[in-house]
Amino acid sequence: MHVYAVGIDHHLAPLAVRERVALDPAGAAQVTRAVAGLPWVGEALVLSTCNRTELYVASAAPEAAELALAAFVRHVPAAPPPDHGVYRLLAHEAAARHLLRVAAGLESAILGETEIQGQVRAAHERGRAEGGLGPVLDRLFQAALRAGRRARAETRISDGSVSHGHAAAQVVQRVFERLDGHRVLLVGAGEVAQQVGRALLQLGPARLAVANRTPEHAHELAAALGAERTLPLAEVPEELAHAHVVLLAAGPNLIGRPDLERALRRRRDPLLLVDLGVPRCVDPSANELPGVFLYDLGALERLVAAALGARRAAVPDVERILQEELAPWLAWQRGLGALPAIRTLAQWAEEVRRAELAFLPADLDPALREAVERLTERLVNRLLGRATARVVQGARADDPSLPTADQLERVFGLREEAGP
Amino acid sequence: MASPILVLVVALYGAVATAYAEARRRAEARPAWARHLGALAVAAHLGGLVALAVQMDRSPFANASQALSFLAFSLVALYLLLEATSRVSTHGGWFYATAAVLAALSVPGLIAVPPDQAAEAPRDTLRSLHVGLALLSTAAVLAGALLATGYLTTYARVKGRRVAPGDAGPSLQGFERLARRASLLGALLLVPALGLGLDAWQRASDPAPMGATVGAMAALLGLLTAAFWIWWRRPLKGSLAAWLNLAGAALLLVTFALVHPLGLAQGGR
Repeated sequence: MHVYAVGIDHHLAPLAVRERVALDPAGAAQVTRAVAGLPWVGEALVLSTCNRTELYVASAAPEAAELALAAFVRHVPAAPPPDHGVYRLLAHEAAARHLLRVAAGLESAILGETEIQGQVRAAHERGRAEGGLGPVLDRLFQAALRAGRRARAETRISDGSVSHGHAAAQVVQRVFERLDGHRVLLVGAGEVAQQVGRALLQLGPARLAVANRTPEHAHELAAALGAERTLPLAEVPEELAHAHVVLLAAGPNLIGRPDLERALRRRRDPLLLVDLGVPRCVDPSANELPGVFLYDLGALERLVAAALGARRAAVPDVERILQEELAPWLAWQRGLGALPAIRTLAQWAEEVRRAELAFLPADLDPALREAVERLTERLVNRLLGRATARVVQGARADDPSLPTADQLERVFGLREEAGP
Repeated sequence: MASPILVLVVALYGAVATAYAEARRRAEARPAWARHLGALAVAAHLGGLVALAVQMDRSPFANASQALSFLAFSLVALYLLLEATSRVSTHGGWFYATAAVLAALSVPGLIAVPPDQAAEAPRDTLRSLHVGLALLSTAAVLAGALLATGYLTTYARVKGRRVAPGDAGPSLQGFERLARRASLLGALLLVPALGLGLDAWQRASDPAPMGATVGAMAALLGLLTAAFWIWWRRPLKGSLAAWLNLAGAALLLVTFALVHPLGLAQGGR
């Protein structure tokens, strides 16, 4: 039984396509159930995130790849036709390797992101609950989850901040241990300010104030973020004497150096300014003032780039871990390939044994007949056991010096040989 | 303190420092085993010092070698105390590295005078107390200097926008809190040490070295007090406070090197 992966992801499909085929948990469960019930499918499982919707199938059918694509198109609502050019279709080892790369975050839009690990785990559990999981996909998903865990624990694939909000939070952590009780001033009420503000508030319950040109917007954001108060833009320079962190995403030249110099005379703690404005809200020379740390968008983008650089550097280490986790599954999978021949051999041997036992005298003592049956059973098992073990061993290790299932079948004449 | 125990303690401190440095290089959390090993090393060191005091029936800093060993112990014990009481994870590999060096230097025969060659002197309880307090305050000064170095390094990185992914160690505010405590502790220990030093100075047959030491201790007290006040009241000027801590450590080294080399201990009987 081989593994196939068919689906749509952010590499090939635009957002407009991805959002149409994205499945919620109930939808993913329904598709899993439907595909698992198809006669040619051994096992089936659906992984659906905002960046990918993929169907994993284990099947022994020779044309399983085409069938898997057709099943995806038929069962996933709004899926484009097979010839749309947005599908990724992978088979055998490539499909398995792809899943491990997905779990480790190598296939994510943000390299090394951690959310995918939980999504793979959820898909695995859903597959089990919906009856789509069998030994092949179960072992493969377990290997993928193990690889994802190891990649994040043993390499730097998920290190650092890869969004402006998290980069700002990282800087805050280098200046203030945590934000509990510290005063944070958010200047501007746009989406950027909101996103970064949320990231900062994860560092502890800060005393937040929101300043904006439009009081209504300030009130809305204050309510959304649980801010203590709002204030007009004109009061921002005065607030500089008290705030620990000032996050600005508003108009240009909002804070000049003289404002800061005045504020510093009344301050006792360092001041961190995070300027997300384009053009900038704060005079760039403010960073020269002792005790003032100014991070503008450029500085934050450098932090993001550094983090991404560190993550990219970790990719070879992650690939090594993926190989270590994939190899045992591949070996086990190759071993499975020898099983039909071994099963046929066992059946043939049993038939021979039964046929020979039929020659025993009919009036043979039952105890003696029982002993002979046991003896022949043991004899067959011992005669065939070593050979079959070597075939499985050879298949798992992909070792040409060991006998293959094909050779086993030919030696015992278990299948029709093609004529000359 | 028996040399084998001292060598073991040096090895343990060195192992912890190496583990911490490696964790820092890999931007990972400090390994739990290293933290436990560090605490075990301090406990072993304390046990050795107590055994030595009991065996000799006198303070465990009766000569230069023992004083260095006591100083190494005090430094790491202070580090553990600061970390346990501050909610700040210090990633203190430098503490263990410094303690390893100090403890290695205290191994008799390495650079320190072997104990049996140390000059015998009559017992003087007040002077022993003075030496003990002075060594403890020295540990606080060294801790302050290490933390100040950490503060200045972090300050330069944050100011230069060189915050790296996975940066470990305390924030500026964390360093500030720890350095403030180390400065306060150093100053509080120096006050009685200074008082006892004045008493010893008056009773000394050769007052010059002791007088210079007492003078240096008074200057050190001033530096530590000023550093503590800035850390406490004006963290905005943290760099200035850090330089005061470093000046204190420099004064200490100059005093030991020129005026009274490892000599506080020589009166400690």
